[in-house]
Amino acid sequence: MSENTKILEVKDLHVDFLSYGAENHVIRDANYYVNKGEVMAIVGESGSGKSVLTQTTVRLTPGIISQGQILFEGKDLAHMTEKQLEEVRGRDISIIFQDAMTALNPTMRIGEQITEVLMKHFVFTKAEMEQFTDELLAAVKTQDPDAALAAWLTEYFRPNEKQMALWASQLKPLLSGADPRSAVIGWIKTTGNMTKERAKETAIDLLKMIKISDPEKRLRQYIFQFSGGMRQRIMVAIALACRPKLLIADEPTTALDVTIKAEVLNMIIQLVRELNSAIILITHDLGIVASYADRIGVMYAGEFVETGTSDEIFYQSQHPYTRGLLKSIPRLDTDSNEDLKAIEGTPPNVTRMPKGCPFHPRCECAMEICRQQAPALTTLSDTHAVRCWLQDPRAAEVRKKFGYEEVQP
Amino acid sequence: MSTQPILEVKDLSVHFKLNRKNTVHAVTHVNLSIQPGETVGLVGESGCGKTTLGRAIKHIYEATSGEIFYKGESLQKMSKAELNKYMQEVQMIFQDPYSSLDPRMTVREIIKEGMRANKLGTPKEMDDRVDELLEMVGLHREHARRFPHEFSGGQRQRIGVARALAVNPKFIVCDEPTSALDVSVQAQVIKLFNDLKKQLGLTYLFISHDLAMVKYVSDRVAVMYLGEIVEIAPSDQLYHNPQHPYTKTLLSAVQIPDPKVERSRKKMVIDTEIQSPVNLSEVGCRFASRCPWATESCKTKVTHLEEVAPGHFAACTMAAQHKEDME
Repeated sequence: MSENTKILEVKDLHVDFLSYGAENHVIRDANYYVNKGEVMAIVGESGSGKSVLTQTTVRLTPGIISQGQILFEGKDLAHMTEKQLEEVRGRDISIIFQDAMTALNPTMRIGEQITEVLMKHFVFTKAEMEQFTDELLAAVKTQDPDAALAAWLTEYFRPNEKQMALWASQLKPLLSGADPRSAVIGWIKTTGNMTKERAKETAIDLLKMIKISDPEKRLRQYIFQFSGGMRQRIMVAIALACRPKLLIADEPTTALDVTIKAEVLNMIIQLVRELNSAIILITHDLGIVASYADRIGVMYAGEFVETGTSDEIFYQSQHPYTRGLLKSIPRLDTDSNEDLKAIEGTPPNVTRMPKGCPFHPRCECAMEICRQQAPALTTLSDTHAVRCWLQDPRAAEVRKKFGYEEVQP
Repeated sequence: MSTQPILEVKDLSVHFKLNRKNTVHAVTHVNLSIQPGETVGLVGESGCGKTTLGRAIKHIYEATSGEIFYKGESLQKMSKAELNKYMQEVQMIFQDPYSSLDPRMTVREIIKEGMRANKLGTPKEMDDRVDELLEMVGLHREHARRFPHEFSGGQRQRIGVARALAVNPKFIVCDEPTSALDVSVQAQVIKLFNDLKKQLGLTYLFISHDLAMVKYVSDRVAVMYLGEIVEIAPSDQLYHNPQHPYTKTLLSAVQIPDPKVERSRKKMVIDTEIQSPVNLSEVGCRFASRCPWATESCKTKVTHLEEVAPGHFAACTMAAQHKEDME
């Protein structure tokens, strides 16, 4: 995979929280990336830091970034000002939260909540219009005019397919006209700029897309008038209103029933595929991960203990925690009534982290070194990396004893 | 079945009045019998009435009509003393281990409360019993002095189990005991349930929406939809040969944690949501509006549980036909 397909890349991120006068290292040395058009899943138990990591990625937590970079399209979110971040949040990166009832505003109509984000990001000031126009004029001079125009429209106006064709045909003659600068500014003022009417139309389209019937009437309703599945779908609509480049779905279906879960997830994945955006899917449900994820990051106690492609994690996992997790989930399709294999013990508390590898108190393969020193990341393939002492050549015997030698094809 | 069931629910309905016009039909005409030593799983979507049924059995809710028999005796005909005995022998474990334990009581007080109310022994005996119970559920006796907030979710659920076991129950209603727990901890709690059953000869009604989990604990599984049991069968049969369309959709919606299996599975997706259980009509199959196989007659015919195979009951007029289709 080439460098330029990575839409988000988080490098060596450390996040600390201050509580009880102590500095707690909640996220330690997190490295992950998301490619365009990909579903990246982050799995782990509650308290493993998956929500903190992703929310800190868009700087929504008060956590202190003591080290590391968050590169989104090459720009470092870790050092952006609040004003710059506002431009990115909701427009380029949006989040679907776990609990729609608390994430949405109970005193605002659904319609207002959907249009709010559109009015925030697509109503421009005079200075912005001039700046956009200059960028366009510069771009068409140096690049293929059609491609430059399409890229420019997508970057600032996020049109759907129909609008794209229409707007491109409107703008093209303006560019070859007598005074392209004022003509394009005029176009932005009349057409490109978001209006209340167009925001409402977009909202109606979104409700249709998420299969809510009678959208005009529904827009005037409040969140308590919707069922759980519908609320979650409204969150999806709001998150996708600006056609974001990256969607963070934080346990989007945990509060839903099995029958609706599949439906909401299919909808999210399908819509995001249409937009050619990327998804970070946070969940503890390995069934969902198996169905949708291209790549998986397994988190434990604030660290990625293993990252890899879906097949690498499910069939060639090298970390005892990943293996334990896979063995502890009940499966519908197995015949035998064999007992589930639980991972004994509980995840550590961040204020009382064990010395060495954070998983060693629960690990069946724990060795002396695991109690003394934290393991480093070992790279097994381009996509597969694991943080475990078993990878050390000196641990060959232990590795054999617990069956980590044989790697399935 | 020759032995007397430990618990029998006959034609039980539980309705809640919302106001003069509207009634919630939480449970309607449910029949269920449970043999001693058996674990019956009860599955269904939220709002299908599974918790209401469990609570009606625990006598938290009064039945609107129908009867519950415990060891052959009807609850309605029991004297106060007998009912007290019933309430002692039938215990409940709740879904949320955070809100079901009093935060101002120590673990010892929580576990002892039931014993004290039922006058089970002297204070010294009760204290010894608390220590014994804590060890039985995998905690330490030192934990008795602590308060609930000092424990993790899995540990709290163990305290809830110890509290239920304190009064020597015969029958335990487990209402989603693992759904608030983390995956790695869920397996621990399930193991505890299975061990205790073997050790103490308990009977469980295991309520859950997690079909895969239910499979690991149950001898028989009942599927509920909008207040009715639509299918009940021995666990293997239900999972391998489901008859009711609703059971089929439920099973197909469960995602299997194995990418290769998932890629090759066919899915049945229903894209409508469960109806509201307010003022349900008595005619027609309640699943008809979402059922992919529904015919006109489904909307008018009343469905009853019918035996499709030994011990396997399904409430679908089309069940026999589906069977032919599949063969």
